[in-house]
Amino acid sequence: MTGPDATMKTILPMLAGASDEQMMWRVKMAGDSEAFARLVARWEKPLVNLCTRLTGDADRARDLVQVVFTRVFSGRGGWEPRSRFSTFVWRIAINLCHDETRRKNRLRECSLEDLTGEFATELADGQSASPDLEADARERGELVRRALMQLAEPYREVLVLRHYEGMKFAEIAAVLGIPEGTAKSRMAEGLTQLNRRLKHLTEELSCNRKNQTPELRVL
Amino acid sequence: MQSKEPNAGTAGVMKHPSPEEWMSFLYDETTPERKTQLRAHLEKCPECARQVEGWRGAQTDLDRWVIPAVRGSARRGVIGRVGWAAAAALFIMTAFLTGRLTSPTRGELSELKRTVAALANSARDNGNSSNAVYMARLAATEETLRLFSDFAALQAQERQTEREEIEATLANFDTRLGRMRSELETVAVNTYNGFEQTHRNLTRLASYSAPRPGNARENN
Repeated sequence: MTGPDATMKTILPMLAGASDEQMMWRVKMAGDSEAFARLVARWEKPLVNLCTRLTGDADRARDLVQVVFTRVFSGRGGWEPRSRFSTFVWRIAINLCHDETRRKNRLRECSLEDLTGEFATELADGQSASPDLEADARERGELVRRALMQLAEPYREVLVLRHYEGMKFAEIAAVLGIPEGTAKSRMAEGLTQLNRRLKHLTEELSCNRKNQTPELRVL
Repeated sequence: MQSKEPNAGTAGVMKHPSPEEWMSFLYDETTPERKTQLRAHLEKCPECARQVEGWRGAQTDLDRWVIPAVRGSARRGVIGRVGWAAAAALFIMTAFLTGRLTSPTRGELSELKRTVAALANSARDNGNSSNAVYMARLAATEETLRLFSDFAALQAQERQTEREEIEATLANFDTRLGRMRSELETVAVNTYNGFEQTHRNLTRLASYSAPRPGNARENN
């Protein structure tokens, strides 16, 4: 047996149980494209989620994730085996999201979702599928997204990594290059500010609704 | 709220755990013993209880923002596994080719395309993909091929520019070396002429000062 078939059938079983670090080692030393493809399969969804939470834009997040993988591959020479692959890839993704946020702020981009307040959120688990509850859930989710986007980056990063990605504070500290205590204090301050901003956005929304005429509300 | 010891105050002043410690508590990163102590503090301290309740409310709110599932499409969306494997293989081969002094020839690029096509065919023959998924991967592979062909062409152009700059610098060195050689030769010639003149002068001087044999007898 020769050719790509032989390669895939020999190497695939070996890669099935390999850790991220083992696969990245193969990518670094041998340019192993199959190992790289497996890393992509493992990390695609978590990275899309992270980038969506940090940028507030799911479509743009998918573009950014492709850039993340391109940088992982082109920067494979700089990866140190003693460091965790997760730290390596999170750092690349977070830096890209920083750049994206700064680019948006410079251009003062305003997406259609921002204008209409309609962001494609799904129902949280266990919620009813009735239209009113569905709309209410989406609206609440959108408020949370907007409040999170209003937080300063240092707080938003820690909130996303701890609450949504489930990373421990020690790991967050390693990724962001800060002390663990600082990660925790940013988390506390971030949650406090989130409460404040959500309260403000909710009041703003109900104020806007009161000012709308019945005809406009129907629209 | 600075102390690490709850309810350890003196003279009736309660010491409160820090916000950092409450974060460890809320996200289950504290020891069971410490957790028990913190719970006990919450029961006795309305201020901390209010603060922690606020943070718990924020956690619940964060859960309300749910990300929709990744939507794939043939045009947008993340490239499939075969596409990434093919892209990585093409990237490596392109990087190897552009590391050489000569730019990749059409023959080499055709060879790369054949290799990627072989990878794509192999994945198809495995029979694991539906037609739609296969078409999506093929589209992604072709797009990737186009992107890396452009990349290879750009690299070749940059190499050509670098080569021209190096040649110009070398030509400059040649000119300067030629000039230096000429100047050194001039110095050498002048020095040789100087030595010759000095030798003639010394010879003449020696002929003036040497006594003639006839003069010496006449003087006696």
